[in-house]
Amino acid sequence: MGIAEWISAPLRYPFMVRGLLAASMVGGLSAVVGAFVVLRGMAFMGDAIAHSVLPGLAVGVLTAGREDRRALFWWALGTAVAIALGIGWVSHRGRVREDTAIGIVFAGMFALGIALISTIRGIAVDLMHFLFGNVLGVSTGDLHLIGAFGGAVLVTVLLLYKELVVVSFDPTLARTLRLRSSAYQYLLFVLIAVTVVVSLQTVGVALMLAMLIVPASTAFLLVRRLPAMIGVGALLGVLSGALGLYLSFYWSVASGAAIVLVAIGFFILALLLSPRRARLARHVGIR
Amino acid sequence: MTDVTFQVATGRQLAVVGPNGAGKTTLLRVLAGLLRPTSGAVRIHGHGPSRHICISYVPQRSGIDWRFPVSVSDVVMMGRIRRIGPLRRPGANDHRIVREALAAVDLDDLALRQIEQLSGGQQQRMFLARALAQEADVILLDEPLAGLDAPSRSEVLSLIARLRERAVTVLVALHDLGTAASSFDEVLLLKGQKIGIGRASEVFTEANLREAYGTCLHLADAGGGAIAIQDTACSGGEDGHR
Repeated sequence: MGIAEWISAPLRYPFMVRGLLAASMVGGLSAVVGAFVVLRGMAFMGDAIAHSVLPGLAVGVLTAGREDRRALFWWALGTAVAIALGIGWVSHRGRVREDTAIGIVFAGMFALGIALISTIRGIAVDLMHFLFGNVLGVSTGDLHLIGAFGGAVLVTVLLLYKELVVVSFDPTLARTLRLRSSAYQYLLFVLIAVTVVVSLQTVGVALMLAMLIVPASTAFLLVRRLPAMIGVGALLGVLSGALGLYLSFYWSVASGAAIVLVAIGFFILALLLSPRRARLARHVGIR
Repeated sequence: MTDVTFQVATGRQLAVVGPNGAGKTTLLRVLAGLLRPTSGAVRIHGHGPSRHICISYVPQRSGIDWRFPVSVSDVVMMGRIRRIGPLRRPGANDHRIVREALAAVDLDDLALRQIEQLSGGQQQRMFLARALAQEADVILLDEPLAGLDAPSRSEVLSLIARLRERAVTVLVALHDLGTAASSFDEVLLLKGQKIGIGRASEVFTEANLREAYGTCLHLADAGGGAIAIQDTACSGGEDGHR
């Protein structure tokens, strides 16, 4: 089988075309938002927001039924944004350390989600889809939602790019310039939340973190300027999404896992080839 | 900190000195509007610091993530974002001001370097360029000489001296009394409160220095005036002595 046929064969199936579009959009979008997650060291925060969506999905299934995807989307979005703002609020004025607060919310919401889902009949399939995604079940309506909300996130990042960079790089400068640092902080949390929700059906709750941090970290190893890091990261995210789905198609591997493994493969390649390899090694303490 | 009432005239350069824990950083952060005083007020051109974007605070270098993927000119441009305004991109005028600021600190040829590739002195000069690009009227520098070798120290000091041409008011937290006396118009001696402010020859009296540094300071008479020798083992060992 030639490479052209290898590429074109799955495109005969409309569900594969929709899946490829979804996986590519999600891969690119996650990498853009992920650049800020990586640079600000918010990986745990991103993971917590992703897992905290579960009870929202469970309530959606309980109230609207598992067929009403639109309702599930809104429940997930509402939950994710509420959690993002809640974690932001707790970490601003909480009496425990920020990572502790995030951990408590993370575990608590995840447990609540599992508890709620366990009351629904036929839970196994739902739970699997929520945790690991179901990219081949993406509908045209889902694509529209991903496009609209993902596009809104990208436009926001583009319009507020220089403020987001300053708040991330030098919060002290942001304050002496009288920028509303905490407002931008909350905004970033909300952008992560929206990204998580539009990505749910592709990679699921459990592997979402990888989409946020892996392509962005790979790009960090390869380039030295933030716009390039965002661009290269987005490209790698799109490639990981598409290539992962092809591997999943040909080898019958779970799609979310295949996408993440491809992204990790790119990361390892970059690690071996990167001019920054020495710096990263120093950073993690290996000589 | 209590009783730190003082004034600095526009365009003057003031060194803030005192032992570790004297409140030098705290004072600068209050002046920058980063900390709110529990009582008392800061007035800069008649307004509180939160009304200004003309105050530049240059933090100690240790507080910066140097691996951040930004170039020297990116960082200098950050000083301009409020003047550029939200939703807008830097214009030709902003790029010109950034170029001039970089030229003023002799970093033009390193403009595109990633910031981790700079030496300590170059990093400090980059922040001075950012303050210039910000068009700051008041520049607050927290220990700008810390961790620098002798040539870099004198470079940074001569750049600070050159700020006089721009009528910028400069306040610098310093460890070194000799540098404070030789390179600045006025000194402010602190130890939790104001011990003295004015010309170094008036402030660095034996009584004042003893009050600030206690027995950690040795004074030696060297003809023209007293030379203060800080006992670094003593002041540096602050934690051990607590």
